[in-house]
Amino acid sequence: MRRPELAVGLALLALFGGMVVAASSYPAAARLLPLIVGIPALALTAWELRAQWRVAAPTEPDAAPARLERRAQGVAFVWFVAFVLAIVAGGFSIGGVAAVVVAQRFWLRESWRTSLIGGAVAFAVLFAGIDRGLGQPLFEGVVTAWVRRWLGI
Amino acid sequence: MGLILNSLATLIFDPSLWLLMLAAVAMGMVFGAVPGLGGKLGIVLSIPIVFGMETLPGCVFLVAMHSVVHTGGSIPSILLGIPGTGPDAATVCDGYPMTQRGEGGRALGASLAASAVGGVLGAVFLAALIPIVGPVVLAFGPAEYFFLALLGLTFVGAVSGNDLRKGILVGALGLMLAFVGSEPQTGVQRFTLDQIFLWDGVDVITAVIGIFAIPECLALVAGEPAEARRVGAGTRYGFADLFEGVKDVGRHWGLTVRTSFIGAVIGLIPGLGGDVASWMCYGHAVQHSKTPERFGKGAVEGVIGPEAANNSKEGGALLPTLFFGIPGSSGMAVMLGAFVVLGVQPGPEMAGERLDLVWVLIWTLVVANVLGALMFLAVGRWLALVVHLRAGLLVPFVLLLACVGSFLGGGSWENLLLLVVLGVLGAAMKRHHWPRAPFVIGLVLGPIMELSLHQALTIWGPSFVLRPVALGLAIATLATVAVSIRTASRRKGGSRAAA
Repeated sequence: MRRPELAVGLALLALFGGMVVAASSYPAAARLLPLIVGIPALALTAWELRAQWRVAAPTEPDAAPARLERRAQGVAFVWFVAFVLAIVAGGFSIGGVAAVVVAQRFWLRESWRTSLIGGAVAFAVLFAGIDRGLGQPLFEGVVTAWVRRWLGI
Repeated sequence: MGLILNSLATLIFDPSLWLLMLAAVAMGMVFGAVPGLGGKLGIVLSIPIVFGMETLPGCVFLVAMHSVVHTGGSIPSILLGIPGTGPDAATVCDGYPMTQRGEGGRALGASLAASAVGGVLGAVFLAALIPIVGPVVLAFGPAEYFFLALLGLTFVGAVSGNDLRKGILVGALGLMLAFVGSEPQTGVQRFTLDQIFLWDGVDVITAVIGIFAIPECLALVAGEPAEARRVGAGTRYGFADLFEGVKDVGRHWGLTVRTSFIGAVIGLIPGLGGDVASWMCYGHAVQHSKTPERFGKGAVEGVIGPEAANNSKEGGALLPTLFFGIPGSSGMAVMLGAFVVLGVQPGPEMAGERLDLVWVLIWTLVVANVLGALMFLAVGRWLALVVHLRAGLLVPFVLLLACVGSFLGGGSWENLLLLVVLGVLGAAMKRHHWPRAPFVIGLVLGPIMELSLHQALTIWGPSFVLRPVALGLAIATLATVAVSIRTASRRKGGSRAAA
C-alpha cells in the first residue's frame, strides 16, 4: 500500500459503511442507535480520510530500517496468527503448549532446553493451575476433539 | 458507636477470621491476576468453600476475597499490558507504558496504594450512606443511567490526545461494536454474522487484549534489537520504587479521594459496573490534569484514578446488594446468591436486626484492602522481576495468557479469532498513532446507554430529559463537551504556533 497511514481510516470507513447498511434493515428500535452513531461516524471518517489524503505522504527518514521494522512486524503477526490457530486446532493443553515451544525455539531463537522448559511451565500453568486447580475447563481444540471422538475416547 | 466498635472487635480479635481473611485475600489476588477469571468466578468457586460455614465467617470470606480482586488485577495490567479483569483495562493505558519506561515498580506501588485507599474510602462511603441509602439509590432510573453513560462518553475527548476527530471515530467504533448481539428491546440479532458467540456481544476482555496487549506484545519482538527486547530494559528496582509509587498517591491525594468517591457512587448505582467506574475515573484524571498530553505515555495519575475507583466501587456496590437485594454489579449478583446460601436475606431488614453483620462487612472491606496492599507490597518486588525477562521467555507466555483470558472472558473459542482481528486493528492503530482508549469507553458504555434510552423512552417518553437528576447530568455532559472542544482547539492552536 502506497499510503499505509490511510489503512485505519479505510478500515473504519468499510466497517461503519457495512454496519450502517446492515442496520438499516433492522426494526426501528434496533436500528435507532446504530444509525444515530453510524451515519455521523461514516461522514466523519470520510472527512478524516480526505484530510489525511490532502496532507503530503510522510517521508521515511531512512527507508531501509523502516522496511526491516515493517518486515519484522509482519513476521510477528504471522507467528501470532499461527499461535492462535495452534490453540484453536489443538486446544490449550496440547496446541498451546506446542505453540509456546515452537515459538520460543523457531521464532524467538531460544535454545531447545529453554523452549522445552517453557513448554513444561506452560503445561503446568494451564493444566494443573487453571484446568484442574481452578476448575476452569479450557478449550480442548477443534482437531483434538475430532480425534478424540474418532478414537472413541 | 458501640455497635461499630463491637463489630471491629468481632473481626480483629478472632484468629479464625484473620486466617480466613488472609486466605480470601490471597485467593482474590490470584483471581484478579489471572486474566479472564475475575471476582465473579472467584465467588462462584468459593461457594463450595463457604458452604456449611457459619454466616459471619462465610460472608467475611466472600467480601474479603471480592474486595481485592482488582488489586491483583493491576499486576498483569501494569507488568504485561494484559488486564486481569475488565475494570483493570484502564490501568493498562498508563501502567504498561510506565513499565516500558522502567517505572513498573513505581506503577505497582501507586496501584497498590490507590487500591488500598480506594477500598477504605469505599467502605467509609458505605458506612456514611447507611442512614440515607434509600433516596440515593431510588434517585437513579433509566433516564439518569442514560445521561450518566452519555457523560462517560464525553471523556472520549479527554483521552483522545491531540486528535479529537480520531478519538471520536475510535469511540464511535467502540459504540458500534457495543451494539453487536441481541438488541435488548426486540431481541433482534445485530451484526452477529450468524455467529452464536456474538449473541452476547463483543467480550470486553477480548477487545481490550486485542486492542492494547497484542500490539504491545508484538512490538516487543518486532523492530528492536535482541538485547533491548525486555519490557523495562536496563532497570532494576526494589522497595524504594514501590514506595515512590505509594508516595505518588499522597502527592495526588485530591485525585485519589475524588476518584474513590466517583467509583463508590458508580458502584452504588446498580448495573453500571466496574468498567464504567474505572474508565470514567481515567477520563476524570486526564481531564483534570494540567498536562493531559502525558496520559497514555505513562502518567502515574492514569494508574491512580482507575485503581482507586476499582476498589472503592465495591463499597458502593455492597449497599444496594445488602439493603435492597439489588446487586450493584454482576459480581455482586453472584455474591447475593452466595449470601442467601449462607442464610443472609438481603433487604431493608439488614438496616435493623442485621446491622451488626453489615458493620462487620464494612470493617472487612477496610481490613481486606489493607491486607491486600501489604501482601502486594511483600511480593511486588519479586513480581516486578518479570519485566526483566527476555522477550523470548516472556512473549509466548503473554500470548498464551492473552488467549486464556480471551477464552475464559468470552466463554467461547471463537473469541480467539476475534482476538486476532482486533489485534490487527490495534496494531494498525498503534502504528499510525490513533488513540485506542476511546474504543473501550464506547464498548463499555454503549449497552448501558442503549438499554436505558429505550427504557426511559418507554416509561416517560421524550420528557425523560426533564427529570431533575437527568437534567443535571445532561448539563454536565454539555459542559464537558464544550470544555473538550475548547481544549482541543487550544491544543491545535498551540501546535500551529509551535510549528
